[in-house]
Amino acid sequence: MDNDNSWRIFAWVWERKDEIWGKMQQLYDWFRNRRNDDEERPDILIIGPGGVGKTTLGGFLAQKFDFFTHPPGEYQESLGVETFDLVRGSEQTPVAGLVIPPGQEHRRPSNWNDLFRELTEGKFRGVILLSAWGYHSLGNISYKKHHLFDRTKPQFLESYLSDRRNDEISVLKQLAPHLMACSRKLWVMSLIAKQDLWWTKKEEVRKHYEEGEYGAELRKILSHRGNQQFRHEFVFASLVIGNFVTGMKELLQPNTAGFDHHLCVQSLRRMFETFDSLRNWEA
Amino acid sequence: MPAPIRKRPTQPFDEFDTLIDLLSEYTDKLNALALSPPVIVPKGKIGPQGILPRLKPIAEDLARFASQQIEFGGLEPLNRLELQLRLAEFEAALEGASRTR
Repeated sequence: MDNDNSWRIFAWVWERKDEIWGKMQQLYDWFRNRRNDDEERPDILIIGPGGVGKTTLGGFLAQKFDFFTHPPGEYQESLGVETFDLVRGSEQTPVAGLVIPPGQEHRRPSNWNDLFRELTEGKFRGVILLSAWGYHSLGNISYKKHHLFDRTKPQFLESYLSDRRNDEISVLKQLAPHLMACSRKLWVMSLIAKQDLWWTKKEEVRKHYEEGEYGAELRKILSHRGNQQFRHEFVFASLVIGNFVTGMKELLQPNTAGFDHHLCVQSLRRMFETFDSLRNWEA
Repeated sequence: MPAPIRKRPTQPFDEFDTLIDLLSEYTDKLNALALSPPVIVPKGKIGPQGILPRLKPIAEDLARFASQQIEFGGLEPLNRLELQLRLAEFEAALEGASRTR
């Protein structure tokens, strides 16, 4: 990206900073809204397979990650359940929490089961289910050592993305019985991240989630719980812009040419608008 | 009598045995660190309290390396189980040492 373009993007973001900041404030107001001081508002669960960007999202929402000035670092797998306190302004008083369990398949039984029980008991007001059209970051392993690698990088990428998409559906299926059994009014946001990597296939991606097996599973939950008790929204977004690389710095796919910060910020705006509509539904 | 040498059905990746050995060795060290009493060390020396902050980031990287092998490496089922067990012990030891230090 040349300097002129960088400045244009920076200027665009700068011009809209009040609007973006306003949305952030509304979100924090919502998180901190308690009926009285003694009442603890339930937390938000952020769940999904490993490498989809859960920690990035948590850090972003909790203002621990400034995506304007700090580009994402390399992927670091989370080893245990992470929590982020949501605080507001200068008070710095925790008002609600984000709970983020690790997503690796072998970590799920020891980290997810208790959270599923709490979900059923009504500890959470909402769930953000993160997917990424299969673009799950790989940690310290070369794609050549991956069990799906056969001959070439393109072959690997195709097999890997397909395998990870299946895992995204499997996560939803693991979650579904607990969403159905949850004792309180509950919303779910399906956040399909890493839009910068699949931007050219956006219609295919939309169909995959909304009209395929994923959407069908959600419709089952909705029909079980009804509109009064359950609300679901899709958001297609890019939290950050970056190439798809392994932890060994191997480039698997560059991000889509033309997907710039303008589109990234637009996608985040849609995410905040969705939060707005969920807040209104909750009230 | 020394324990019999177990033969693995296949060598899943070059460093598999090294990884298992490292996890076992540092599980023991972290467990010992968790149980060691706090000591007052002379200025300029490093006591048990000073070891963990140095070990922890590297130990976490080791755990991440093992985890990615379990998740994505082409391991035979028994090798995968073995690595999972070693990693679970290692992470429990790391958590225990972090809590007490």
